[in-house]
Amino acid sequence: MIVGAGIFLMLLPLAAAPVVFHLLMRQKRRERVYSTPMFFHQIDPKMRARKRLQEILLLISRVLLIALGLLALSRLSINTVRDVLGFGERQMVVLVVDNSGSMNTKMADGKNTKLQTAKKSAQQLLSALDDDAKAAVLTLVDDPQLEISSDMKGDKTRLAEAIGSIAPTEATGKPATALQQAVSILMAASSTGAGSVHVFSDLQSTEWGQGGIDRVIDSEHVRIVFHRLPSVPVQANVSLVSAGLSNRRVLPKQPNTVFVELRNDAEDPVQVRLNSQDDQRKQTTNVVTVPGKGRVTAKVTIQPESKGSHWVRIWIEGDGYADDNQAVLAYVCGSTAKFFLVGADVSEFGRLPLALSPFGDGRFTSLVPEVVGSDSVRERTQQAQPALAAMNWTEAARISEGTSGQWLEQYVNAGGNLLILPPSRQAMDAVRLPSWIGAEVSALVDPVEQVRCTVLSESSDFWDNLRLPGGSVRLVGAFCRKYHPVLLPEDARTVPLLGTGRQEVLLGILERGKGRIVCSGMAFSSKWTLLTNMPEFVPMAQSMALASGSPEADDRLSLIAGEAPASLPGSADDIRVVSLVGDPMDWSGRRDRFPQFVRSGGYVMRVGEKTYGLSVQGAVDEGSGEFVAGRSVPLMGEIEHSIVSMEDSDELKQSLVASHTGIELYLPLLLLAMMAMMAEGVLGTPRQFKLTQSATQKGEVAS
Amino acid sequence: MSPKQEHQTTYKFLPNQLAERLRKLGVAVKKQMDGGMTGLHKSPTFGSSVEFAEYRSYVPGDPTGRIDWAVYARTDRYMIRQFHDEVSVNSHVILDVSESMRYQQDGPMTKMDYACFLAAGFMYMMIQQGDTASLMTFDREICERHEPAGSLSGLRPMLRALEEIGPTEPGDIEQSLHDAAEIVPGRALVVIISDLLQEPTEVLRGIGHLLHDGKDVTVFHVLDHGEIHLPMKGVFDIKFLEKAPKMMVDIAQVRDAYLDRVHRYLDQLRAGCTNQGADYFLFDTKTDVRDALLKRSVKQ
Repeated sequence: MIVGAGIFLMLLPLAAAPVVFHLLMRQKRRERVYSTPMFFHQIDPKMRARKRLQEILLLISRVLLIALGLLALSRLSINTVRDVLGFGERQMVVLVVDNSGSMNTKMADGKNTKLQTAKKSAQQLLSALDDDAKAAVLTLVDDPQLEISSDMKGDKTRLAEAIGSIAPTEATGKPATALQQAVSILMAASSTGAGSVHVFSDLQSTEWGQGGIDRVIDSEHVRIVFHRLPSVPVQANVSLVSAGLSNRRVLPKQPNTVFVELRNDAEDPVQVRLNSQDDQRKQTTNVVTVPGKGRVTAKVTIQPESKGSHWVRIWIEGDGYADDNQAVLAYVCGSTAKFFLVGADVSEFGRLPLALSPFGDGRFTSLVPEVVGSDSVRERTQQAQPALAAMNWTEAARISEGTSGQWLEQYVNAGGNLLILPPSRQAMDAVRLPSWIGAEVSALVDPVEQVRCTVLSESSDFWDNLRLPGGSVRLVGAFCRKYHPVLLPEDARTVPLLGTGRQEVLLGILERGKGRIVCSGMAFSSKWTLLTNMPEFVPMAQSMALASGSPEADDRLSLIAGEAPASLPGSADDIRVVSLVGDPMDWSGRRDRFPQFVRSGGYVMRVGEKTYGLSVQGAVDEGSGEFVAGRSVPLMGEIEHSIVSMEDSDELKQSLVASHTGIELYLPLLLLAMMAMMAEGVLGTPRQFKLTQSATQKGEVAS
Repeated sequence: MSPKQEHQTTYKFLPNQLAERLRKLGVAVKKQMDGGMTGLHKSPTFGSSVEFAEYRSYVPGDPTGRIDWAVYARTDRYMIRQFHDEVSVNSHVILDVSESMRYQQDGPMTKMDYACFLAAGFMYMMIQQGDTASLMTFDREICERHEPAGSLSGLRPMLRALEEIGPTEPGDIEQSLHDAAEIVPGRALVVIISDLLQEPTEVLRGIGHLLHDGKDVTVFHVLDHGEIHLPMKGVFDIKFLEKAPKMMVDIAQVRDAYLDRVHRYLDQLRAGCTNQGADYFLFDTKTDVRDALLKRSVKQ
């Protein structure tokens, strides 16, 4: 409305003037005597009713003429956009910006991300509010690095700065929580809670596609408006579902494997590049093909050079959506680990000690041998947590039959590596292994000619360090001179590794609990097998020692961005978190105030005296290409809300301009006034009765 | 003469001023009239007046004084000159006293009063020039009939009768004229004074009857000025003098149609009268009575 136009609205009662004049000055029908009816004959008998109707229509047209003219001059406008945007008289607005991972993708124009557009739109809406309006800003993902006060404020500048500081996350938003908080803010700001909540989001189905929020929002005065940011269809998205270290003990200079699980949501197979980079600037790249609608587990090898905290960042390239392509793995590497040679005579183990620790001090392998008597092995094991306990069958039987007979079983089940092998100097015709092991060995076989050792389970990770680029295991020229065939139970947790080619197993693994038992039918001396003379024996020995039982496995914690940990390790109340890679962080606090991580990264978490590696991975669901379509959001259930589609930020800007100016009614009202004037002219002109041809012939006057 | 007597000798419809102005006017007729007395008007029979008619041969018995000796000298034949006989005229004023004549809208008087002035004036003019005049009134039929009078004393009862006329009945002009045609004897001057508010064809049939009987018919058509021009404005519930249902009329709406209708009606009457040989004069009540009578008079 233009300045001064309001005076015409005040003059609107003048529209009743024709009615007043009509009542005051209307022509009263007079009675008159006339000489003859012959000249008035046959005038329409319905004239009285028609005259009355004509008068009423004339009166209406005159009232409309004045009223419409005044309304046109008052420059009225319809503010439908204002209603759509939920702006009330006193503007109380909560702006909720979706900063979840899916908002990091580009808009259709390819210039800005959805989050950038949402922020710009929210700032525009903020600037379009009245001067006395109050607003608050919330995000769908509670980003601890974002300093936004959730109180209602009137300072638009600071609110705009707060919106500008919203950074992308890789977490899944919590819309129900955000909306409930928005309503609570409005309720706290006014007694009725009247106001509007504006949500700027792409309405991803994983967040908004499920109902149930109607139980937590109970204010009828809150108008909820969704500003939907359109999404470009995601094509051929491969998600990095998880990345985790194997159970192999993490030691300096010891290679380890990171298992990376990839998921393909597309129908067709997708080939992606799997990259890794660690804190030692080692980079790897592999090409991985993920079948359509399938999963695949790829491996990335790491090898920390020193003890302490390390990280490796793993990401994939070549798919349609980037924010679920990355994982950061933080881990703690110990200094050295001991392996126990149980028994009085070290020579019983042949070349095993040399293969595990060439110099006996941990150089090259980080493994240090320790000869432990069968009497003290239990105590030492609890103290030193060895990577491997190696003993011959006799020692194993003795320990199992002792007073602490179940200890060895418990050691294995808790994650310990146990190597049992025949005594190298003592030929045993019949050996009976402890029953809890589940394997048996037959009598010694001493063939005339040495027997070729063959790999039985090439796919076992035991052979990973011997695997050629094509996937086959490099073990050529390994022969066995004598052996005890090992009889392994046929179950999924038993893996035969070496055989004779005559359906006889020389070496096998039995998984028990978290640990492994490597059961060898041959001693590791050259009298038994030539394998120990081969360089391949070294990695085999490393695998025996480090395949499982990693105490560091419990020192690693993995989180999905935006999600709180189910439980925190340790018992100390004070926790400190320092970032290795990702968002810079050095947080100290109580256990119950543990921060939320919204972006992928690697952290070191110290709980009491113990250090843990904390890995945060982006939410995989954010890569979903399904978004809420239509005019309602399923999450809202029965709660009234509206959706305004927004192709770009300029579109909202135009709507906001329209919300202030409205739709001008000047021209339509002026046209209507002109139509009323024309009607008045037609009705006000006296209608003449004319003689028709037939009436003329009859000598009568017709209407 | 006492004032009362003076009052009694004053006539409403023939005041002295009007009589004075009409005294020198006379009325001529187009047709040969039958009359009992020698007068101003040509008789259908030959007489000895001064107006030459034709020659005829002398027959024994003819007065010798009427032989045209000049013709005899030229032709050697006795020829008798014949002259028209001049007679007085019997005039009959047929006055409409139907209810519609009471109407007065825009004129100074009712049509009835105006018609009475005309009747009185005309009869006075006739008597003044030595003719006779009689008065007949009609509405649905002939109501009142006065014997012809040739003197002012004979005119008096008719003037008084005019003063007592009070229209109460609707009229039937055609029927009344048919009746009058039967009543009026011989060749006479018939003056119809009426508003003629009836269908023209019907009126003309009545006039035609009179003309057919040899009457010299003059029509004084009297209408109110308002009836001709409809100067009213507004919406009226109109009640008619003669029996007719009430009617609501917006004058602005019907004016053109009304005037058109009136003009057609007047044209039809004027043409009808002229074609049949009657004299037609239309007067609205604003017209001065003397001026109106002057149109039918000749100066003596």
